[in-house]
Amino acid sequence: MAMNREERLQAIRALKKKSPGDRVLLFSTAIFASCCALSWFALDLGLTHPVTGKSRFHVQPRFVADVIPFPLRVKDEYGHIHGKWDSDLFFGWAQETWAEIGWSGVVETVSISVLAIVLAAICAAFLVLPASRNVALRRGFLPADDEGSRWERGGRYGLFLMARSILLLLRAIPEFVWAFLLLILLGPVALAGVLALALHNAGILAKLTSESVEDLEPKPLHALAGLGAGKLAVSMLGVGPRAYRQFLVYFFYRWETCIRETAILGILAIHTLGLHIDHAFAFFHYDKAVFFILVNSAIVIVGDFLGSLARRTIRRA
Amino acid sequence: MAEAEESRLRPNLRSYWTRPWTLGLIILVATVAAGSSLDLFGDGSPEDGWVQFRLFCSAALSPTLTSESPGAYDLVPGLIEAVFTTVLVAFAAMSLAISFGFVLGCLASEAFWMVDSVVWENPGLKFSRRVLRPLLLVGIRAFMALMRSVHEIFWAILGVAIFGLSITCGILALAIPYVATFGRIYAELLDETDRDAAGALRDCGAGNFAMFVFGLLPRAASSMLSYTFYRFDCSLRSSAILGFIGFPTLGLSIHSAVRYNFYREAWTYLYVLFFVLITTEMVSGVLRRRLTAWR
Repeated sequence: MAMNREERLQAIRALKKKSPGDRVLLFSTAIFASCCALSWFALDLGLTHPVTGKSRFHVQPRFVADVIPFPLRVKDEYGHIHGKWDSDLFFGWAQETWAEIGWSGVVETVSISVLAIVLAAICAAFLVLPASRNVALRRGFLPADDEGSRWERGGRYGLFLMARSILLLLRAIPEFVWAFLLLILLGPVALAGVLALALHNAGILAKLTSESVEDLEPKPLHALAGLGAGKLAVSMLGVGPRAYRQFLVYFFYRWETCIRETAILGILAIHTLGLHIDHAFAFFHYDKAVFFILVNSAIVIVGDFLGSLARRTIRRA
Repeated sequence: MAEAEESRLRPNLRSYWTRPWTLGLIILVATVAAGSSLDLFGDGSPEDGWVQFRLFCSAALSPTLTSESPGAYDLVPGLIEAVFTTVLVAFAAMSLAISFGFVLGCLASEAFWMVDSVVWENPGLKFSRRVLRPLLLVGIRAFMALMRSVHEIFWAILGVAIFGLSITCGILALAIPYVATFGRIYAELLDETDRDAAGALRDCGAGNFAMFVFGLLPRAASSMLSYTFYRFDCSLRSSAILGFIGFPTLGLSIHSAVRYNFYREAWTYLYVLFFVLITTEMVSGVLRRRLTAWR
């Protein structure tokens, strides 16, 4: 305990040397931060008019007038439009606007997200095991197992890399781009939206789950394999039940995002709430557009709540 | 003790919901209901869908660097500009999202408002701790939920309607939901962090603020940084998608090329987009693995 100052400093220095405070990390964080700062100077922010130099970034008067629900708009003697609150008129308008989408519009949006996430989960279930190191790269599950010839090992590694790159490709491409490409083949039908969301989310689900499969405690697997279970049996009985809960957590987490993303598929004319929003903007019906956006965000918030409730229940059980 | 005994004797009803068969049944019912309420194939299918799709797929092997339009101009300068805009918009949005998200994340964490009661129960200030602070917390979280529940694309369209078309609208539109997401996740990470260091500081006489800043933040820093890197991938994807509603990012190039049936040109843009997204994903994956090792 009795250390003089010099010794203590030396001990601290030795500790610092041992700590894996990572140069690469420090360097890349610094680059990231400077890119963030530099981006503001490198971009043409478009705040001023290129010729006149006047500020272009101000609230458009048209928006202010059009965002007031139209029965509430009143013109004053100068021709400016103001809002005048009248609850009967407002609720009448709200009811009429709601009737344009109705429950069927809401159900459609939610249905697409449910179908998409279920399809994604089915695809992901097939992709998880080939993409997790501890299952795909081994011949058996026992530590003493013979790993086979060099070709066998190479083949397994090749399959593993293939599964990984499929996942990378699936999840790196945004669902919106998938949907846009599927539009060429299918046109703006719900199936295109379902497939697009499913492809992207299958990649994410499989990747997240394969990470938790890789983190599994290996001893139960060894025990099963030691009792003579084959690779399939160990995967089904040893890996499956233990990865299942985490898979469900990710399933509900991705479902929340799916609901959020379903709406924007409307911009590609797929029949979701987003289509109504897009049309309202196209006709400059900003009052309706804001109404639909609020309806949509209510759906997303409810979905978020249900999803996190499910996740919490699963974690606790 | 008594509580543990009770929960052991009483069948845990909650766990029935997570049995494979129960959940499978719920999901199956939801799927069937969704499938039956949805007209999957619609009547919007294009007549020449297969023809166009075959053309599109065969163009994948021959991407081009000169435009397929009658002008046959060089695509490279426009391509480079689009890539730069995509990346820069993502960075600019991230800089806003991280800074505001960090503040909101601290404010939305239980640890910030109730550090001492988390470390140990403090009987004083009951009203503030039981009523005022939870209310404030719920208010902040509801505000963030509202920001997050509107998709960045809709924020962008709304922004363009309000302020006119400029890149700034795109940046702000990306930043708004990302601020809220960062706030939520940072708050969760802060609340999940071990309180050991904070407790030790408390024993040395540190106040709540010092406990939070020196006991909790450094402890949560690595997982917060890891999430930030992950989120950059997402912001890059979103920034590319902003092109589909008219911002000059890669999405705009893809959109216009496909709309004019210039499939070879479209594939050039698509390959560049894939390259950018996959590279970022791999780099951030490496960084995140390093961060986990460091933690």
